[in-house]
Amino acid sequence: MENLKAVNKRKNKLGMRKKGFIIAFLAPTLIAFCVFYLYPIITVFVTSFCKWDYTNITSPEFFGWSNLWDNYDYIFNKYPFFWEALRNSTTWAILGAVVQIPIATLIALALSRKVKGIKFVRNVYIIPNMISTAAMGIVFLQLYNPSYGIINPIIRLFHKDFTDNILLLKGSAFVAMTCAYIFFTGTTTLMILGNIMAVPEEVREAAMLDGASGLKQDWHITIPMIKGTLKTVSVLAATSGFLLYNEVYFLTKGAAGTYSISYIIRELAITSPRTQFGRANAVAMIQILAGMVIILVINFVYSVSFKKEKK
Amino acid sequence: MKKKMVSVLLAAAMGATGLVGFGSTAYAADDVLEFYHGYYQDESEWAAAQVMRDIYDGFAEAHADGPVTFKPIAVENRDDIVSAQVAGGSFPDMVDVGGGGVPQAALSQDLVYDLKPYIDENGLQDAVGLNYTQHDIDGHIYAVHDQIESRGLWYNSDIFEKAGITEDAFANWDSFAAAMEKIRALDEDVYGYIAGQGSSYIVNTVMASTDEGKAMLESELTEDTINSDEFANAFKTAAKLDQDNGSEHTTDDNGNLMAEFNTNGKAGVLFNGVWNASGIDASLSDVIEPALFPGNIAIASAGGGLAVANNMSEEKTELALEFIKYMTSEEVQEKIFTGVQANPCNTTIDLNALAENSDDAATKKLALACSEVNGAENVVIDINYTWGSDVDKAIINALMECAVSGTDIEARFAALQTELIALIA
Repeated sequence: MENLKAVNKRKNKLGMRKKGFIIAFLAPTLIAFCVFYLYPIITVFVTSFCKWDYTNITSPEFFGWSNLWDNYDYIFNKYPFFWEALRNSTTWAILGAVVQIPIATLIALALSRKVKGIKFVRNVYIIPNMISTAAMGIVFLQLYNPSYGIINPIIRLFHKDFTDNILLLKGSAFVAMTCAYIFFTGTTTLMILGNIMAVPEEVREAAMLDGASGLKQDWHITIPMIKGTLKTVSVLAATSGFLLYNEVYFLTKGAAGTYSISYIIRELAITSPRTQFGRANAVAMIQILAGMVIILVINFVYSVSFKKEKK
Repeated sequence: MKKKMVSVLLAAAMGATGLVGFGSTAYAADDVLEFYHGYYQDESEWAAAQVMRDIYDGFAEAHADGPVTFKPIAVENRDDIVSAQVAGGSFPDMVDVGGGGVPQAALSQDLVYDLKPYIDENGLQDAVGLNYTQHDIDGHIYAVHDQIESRGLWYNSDIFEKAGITEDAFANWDSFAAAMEKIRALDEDVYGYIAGQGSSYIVNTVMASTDEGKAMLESELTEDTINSDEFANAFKTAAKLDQDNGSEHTTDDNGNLMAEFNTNGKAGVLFNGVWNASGIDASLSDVIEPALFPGNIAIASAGGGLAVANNMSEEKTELALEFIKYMTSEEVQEKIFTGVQANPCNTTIDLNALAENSDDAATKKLALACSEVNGAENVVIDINYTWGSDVDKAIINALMECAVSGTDIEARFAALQTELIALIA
């Protein structure tokens, strides 16, 4: 009996020690999460209901319950660029998931084939991803330059008298900006490729014995087996599309209907001489919520489509 | 035992790092006056930056034995540093706030020292020049810019001659439009002017051509101004000129296309500051000339300038004020003119005499441009400083969109009015 007690006591002690270790190891991450993520998000949320601009920069002032939605009312009903920015950012998010991921997947599938020189192609393909988006913005600014860029001469092959700057044409400017980032899928491609390589060779061989061709193998075996990664990269592509900033800054500064949500946050908080932190945080709150919606939608779409596949 | 020892050492190191981190303060020490400025460029990249740094170092050396050390710090992200400090309720000891101006948030927190009493006590009114009137905010002066941002236009006399344009082209905006038409009609690879950023100066000067419009420019933007005939006329004049000029010659940053005027000689006109004198390629220095905006109008703004933090120690404040006196002194102002190739703020400097003594063609051209601006019948402030950079940018964006052929200028102006009313809300 005494022995049992001693054993239990020892077990408890070990259990406590184990818990202590777990807490000790988790603590830095938890603290960092609270300080660098949770606290700023709470601050953004709270101050989005405050008057916070150049008149009271160090002491945000709560609007009070009767005027609680003042900042949101301004953003939704008065601020001239919000709806345009939300529409553009949402479109870029959708394009990220719908255009960028299929491109990346196709390239990854092609790169996974054991063909001569494929390693070289793989390395070359990743190079543009090492260039910052800011530098790419400048590169595209030159490409689109109507005087010496290469895009206008190409357009002139079909439209002889075309002389305009496509970055100032509504519609075209949006397409031009989308092209400036959407085809750069190196990191995403590598993530998908890594997962494709991890698909067991036996599964493919079995499919081959059953008469499945390369494309059928990809469609029915490889893609379902890497759906987890596809979901993850879709979320990443959609959120980075939704957060697009550098391209807007370097190519148009919002002209010709190309504002993005990230860009208007900067406009309100930094460019405006009135330093409108409260209103900028209201937009940031909307951005956070929209980001969550994007993640939920992608999860939903993937779960529904792969359920169908199983059936 | 060893493991325990390592753990203890690691914990101690982390603790010490934390203490050092928390212990350090955003403020400079009491015996150092930190001065942030934006002249960070290498001499090979921009020689004027080195001239300015030499001027600052000269002051630091002259006061090396004093109780406070003067420490100039060249930074690329000066505006970010100022914004971050102001958001945290502090201000750099001293900073050359440049084009952005002293942030309103800093003024509303009383973070910036009022320089007016010092200027008055020391009789520096002429030395600070335009700063004295343009930077006066309810009887306070919070910044003194050692250079005046003076803007007119530069034209290529060779292109003008070929197109048969005389100097009457600058009589008014109609004659200017006719001149641009003649340039476009030339059977050569040349065009009228570099639009976009430059076009906002058209709005600026068209508004300044009437007393009502000028008064609107010199005060904060209001709904009445946005809905005024003066503003409508100014915007539509610029937009029409831009559309005729073509969107392919439009940029939100003059720097993107500047070489087409200064180096390649493809543009007839460039709306830029007097400092453009130093950017003209030697092959074009004989044909590029300065002129005023149509209607004998110039844009001159004190802009940002040297601002000093409030509530510093007496010794530090004294040194900061001494520095402002030094920067506006004739000796330094002459260097700013000849070395930096900028329009000095000190009104007692005889720029033409300095130019005569110089062998440098750019200095002579600069003197000519400065004299034109300083002698203009009508001098007006840049809207960027009175209406704000966000408003200025919205106007530039609207003008750039109007430059596209077929754009409905009336409709875009109506949209701009809505945007501006919302921006000032």
